[in-house]
Amino acid sequence: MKVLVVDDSAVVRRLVTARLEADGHEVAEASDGMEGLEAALAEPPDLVVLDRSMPRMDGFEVCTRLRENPATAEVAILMLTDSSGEQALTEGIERGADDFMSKPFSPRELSLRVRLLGTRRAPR
Amino acid sequence: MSALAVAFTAVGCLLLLNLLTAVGVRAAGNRRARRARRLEPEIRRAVSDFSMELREDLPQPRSRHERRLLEEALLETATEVSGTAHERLAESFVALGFADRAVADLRSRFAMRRVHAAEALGQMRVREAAGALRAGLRDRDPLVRFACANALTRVGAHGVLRPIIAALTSDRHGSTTGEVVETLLDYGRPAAAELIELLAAERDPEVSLVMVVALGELRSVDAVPELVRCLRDPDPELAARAAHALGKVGDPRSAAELAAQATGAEAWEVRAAACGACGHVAAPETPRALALALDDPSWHVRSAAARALVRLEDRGLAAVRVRLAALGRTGLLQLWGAFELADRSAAAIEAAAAGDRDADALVRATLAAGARARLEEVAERDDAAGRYARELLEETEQAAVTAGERR
Repeated sequence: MKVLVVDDSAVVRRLVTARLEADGHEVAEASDGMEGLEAALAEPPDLVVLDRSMPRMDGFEVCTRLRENPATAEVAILMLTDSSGEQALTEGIERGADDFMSKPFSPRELSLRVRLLGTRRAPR
Repeated sequence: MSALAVAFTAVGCLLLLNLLTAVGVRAAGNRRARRARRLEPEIRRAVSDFSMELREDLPQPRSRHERRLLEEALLETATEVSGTAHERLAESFVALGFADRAVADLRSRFAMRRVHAAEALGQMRVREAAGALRAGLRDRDPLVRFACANALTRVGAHGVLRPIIAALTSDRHGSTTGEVVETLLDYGRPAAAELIELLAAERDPEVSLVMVVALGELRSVDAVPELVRCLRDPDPELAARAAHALGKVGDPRSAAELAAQATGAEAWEVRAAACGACGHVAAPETPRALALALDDPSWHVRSAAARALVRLEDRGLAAVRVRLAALGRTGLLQLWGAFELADRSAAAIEAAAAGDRDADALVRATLAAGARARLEEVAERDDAAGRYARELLEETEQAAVTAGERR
């Protein structure tokens, strides 16, 4: 599966990439929302692992833009949030995220959720 | 050779030696820096892979500098992961001796070193460091006390909540109530049971205050009886905080006491807080009490009651209608103001137009009290609400003309 990891933290990008590459996925990285959106539109992935809080464009805005564009409307989105609070979750659902994980995250859980999202949405 | 020449030669040799030493030290420093630049990404990558279970062991550090890089990478990675990944990092942190060094650093004469040590121990949840961290709660520096308190909540030590609160509230340069509560929340849900027990026996009002706020933030249903006891406390600040906490919990068992305090408490702060809480508690007593509180002499209480009634939606409207005839003009206008603030006034007019009798009674009463602006705005619309508003405004004008003619 082609996965795009969008997070402004180099540590998180490194961790997520290492885990997902070990699981056999093809991973690309972007370090903020704007860069992530451009990368997703240029080459739509099967799944986006998207941080909620980022400079230039936050994860919610990226989510909305991805859903608005026909090329990326069906891409699976796993959102990483700083809290599991109701507001973050409800706004994420409204904006079109498919699944959530709160930070700090469990790599094993990440593997599992990515796999489940992959089986729910057939790869292109 | 003269003595002078010997002296000059000796000084020259010394200067040359110093120069060579300086050049050598600098070259060694540069070599270390180059090696560090090369090693840093390797070490970070190795720590990432180790936490992700992609490699069995961490690289063994061969110098002090490599140890420092490894420690930094462990701490940096541990902030982002949980579960098994975090456990692996924490075990290595202890095994490599970093935890022992951090415990030793808690006694450093430099305050920031003590702070960093406490943060590292908390980050890695080193339970063995609980004793040293507890001692840090008595540190002379408030930042160190705060860092130790935070770390203690993370390591999951037992019996530390009371010392933490006492340490953080002990002086006026210490933490704010919000900061203390946030620290307690890091302890997670198990904090509630301990806090309930402690609150029952607590004598220090400042400590009680923090416990009450924390129990509200934890949404602890088990804390309701204890919070209700605090709601009756003669200290208005504690009682108001207890009301606020009960609102956060939202348990119907607190409704009767909240309703009683909303209308009967001596201090306006308590009445206002109880009104606010009533808006979050679904029970028959609360809307009735709020409708009564609309006639409170305090603006703050009326405002809190009005906002709570709007929040209760249909139940709030029904309670207002019951006592609409007795309700004073000020309270009525404040209630309509709350509808406006919540952007619900047009919706109330639409509900009235659709046949909701409670909404109709409220709209008519507020118009009679002088609130026309929203009705006039809705009257411009070409729908059922617009027709309702126009008819109501015409009725009122006709009634005013008739009353004028009679006079």
